[in-house]
Amino acid sequence: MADIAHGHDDHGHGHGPVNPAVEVIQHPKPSLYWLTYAILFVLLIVTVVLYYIDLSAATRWVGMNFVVAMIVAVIKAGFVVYNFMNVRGSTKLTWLWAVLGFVWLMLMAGIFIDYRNRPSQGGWEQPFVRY
Amino acid sequence: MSLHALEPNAGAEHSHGAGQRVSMQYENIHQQNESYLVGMWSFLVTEIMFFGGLFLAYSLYRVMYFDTYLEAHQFLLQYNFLGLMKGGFPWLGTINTAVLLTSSLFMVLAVYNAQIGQRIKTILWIGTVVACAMVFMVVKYFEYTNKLHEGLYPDRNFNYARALYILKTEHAGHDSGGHAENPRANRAWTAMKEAEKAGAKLSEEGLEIPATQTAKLTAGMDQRLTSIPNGTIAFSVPNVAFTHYNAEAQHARLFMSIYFCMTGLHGIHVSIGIAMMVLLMFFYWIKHPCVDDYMPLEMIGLYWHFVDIVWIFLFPLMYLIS
Repeated sequence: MADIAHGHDDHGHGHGPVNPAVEVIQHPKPSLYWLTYAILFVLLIVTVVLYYIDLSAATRWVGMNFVVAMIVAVIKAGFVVYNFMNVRGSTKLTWLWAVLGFVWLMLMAGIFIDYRNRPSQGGWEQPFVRY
Repeated sequence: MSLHALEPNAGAEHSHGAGQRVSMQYENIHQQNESYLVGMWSFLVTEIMFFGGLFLAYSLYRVMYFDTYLEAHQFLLQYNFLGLMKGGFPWLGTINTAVLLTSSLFMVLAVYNAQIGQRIKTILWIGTVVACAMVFMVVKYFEYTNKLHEGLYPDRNFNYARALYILKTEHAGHDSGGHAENPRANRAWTAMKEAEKAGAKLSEEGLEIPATQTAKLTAGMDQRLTSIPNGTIAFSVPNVAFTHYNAEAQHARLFMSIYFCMTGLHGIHVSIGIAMMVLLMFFYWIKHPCVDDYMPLEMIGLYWHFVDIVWIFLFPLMYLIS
């Protein structure tokens, strides 16, 4: 089945008449995948270890553990998107769509901040009134 | 070949070989590949919108009822398999994360082999992805049945007091550190202890309020939150400890609802992924013309990585609350 397509750099895209206005998708080598996997695994261990380290007490801010855990998760997701989902070699239009997903999450964050700032939620300054 | 009958020789003029054929509406193979990918990405963005709302709901309630989340998330850590997985460490979540990360690697290797035309290797790599996905679902099965048996599924059998009692007594022996000592993670348990002092009966069956404790009948009393023994009429108890417990149980119920909703939805995505990959393996096996092109596998791969990313966020949010 050698006739399955290959879209690899080293197989030369230049044979046919390629319209220069069309972007070509580049595919990375498998070694990059293994490297990404190793990084992701290390970050997984970091995530679990973070659970046992009380950064909040060390930094005197209660949200510290959460923020650091989320930063690690975002880095992990970034590696998956950039290398595994091959945004790195994709066209500008694909980049746009990948960024759009991020924009939506920012919108969600905006709604969250808005909601938490409302007086019915106690605003940012006062602790939330429990019942 | 019938798929591209209108332009039988369209693929031949490109360096990609005979595998990828350009459909008539495209300028060339690159434009066709790009539109495939952009189509898949636009689908993934709708998925992000869909999960994004759930993450927002999770975040809002987490900030509102943080102490309850802290207490309730301990149930996700309790699992004992042949005495190997001691409580206090998020075994199931960690195993599932590792399994999904590995399956993502196998998926990109499958796509790579499809690109260079290794049909058998492609089938084998997809097979490993399916195996990983199966492992994920089996772990999920054990996790869910454990929750169901403990009465944590938020239906009418939800019994937070019972689950907490089991957590604090049966699992107390091998609770290695973790967050059990955190006073913030003991609110419902403290309220239950105080309700016990006030006359309620605390046992393996949960929190039972004796009829003598009852003062005035309240129609709005939520019977689902406690175990009501036969012959007892549910009344509102004018005891502040019990009211505290009731509020905690409702918030814990909210946490379990969000937990089941988000992980369940993720599980459905995994199941759909398994079905799609098995179908693709079959197509590769029978040399179906649609998989002459590597793009179908590439797109299922994108979907699979998306499922992986959702889990990357679910794992610290659900299992590692600290």
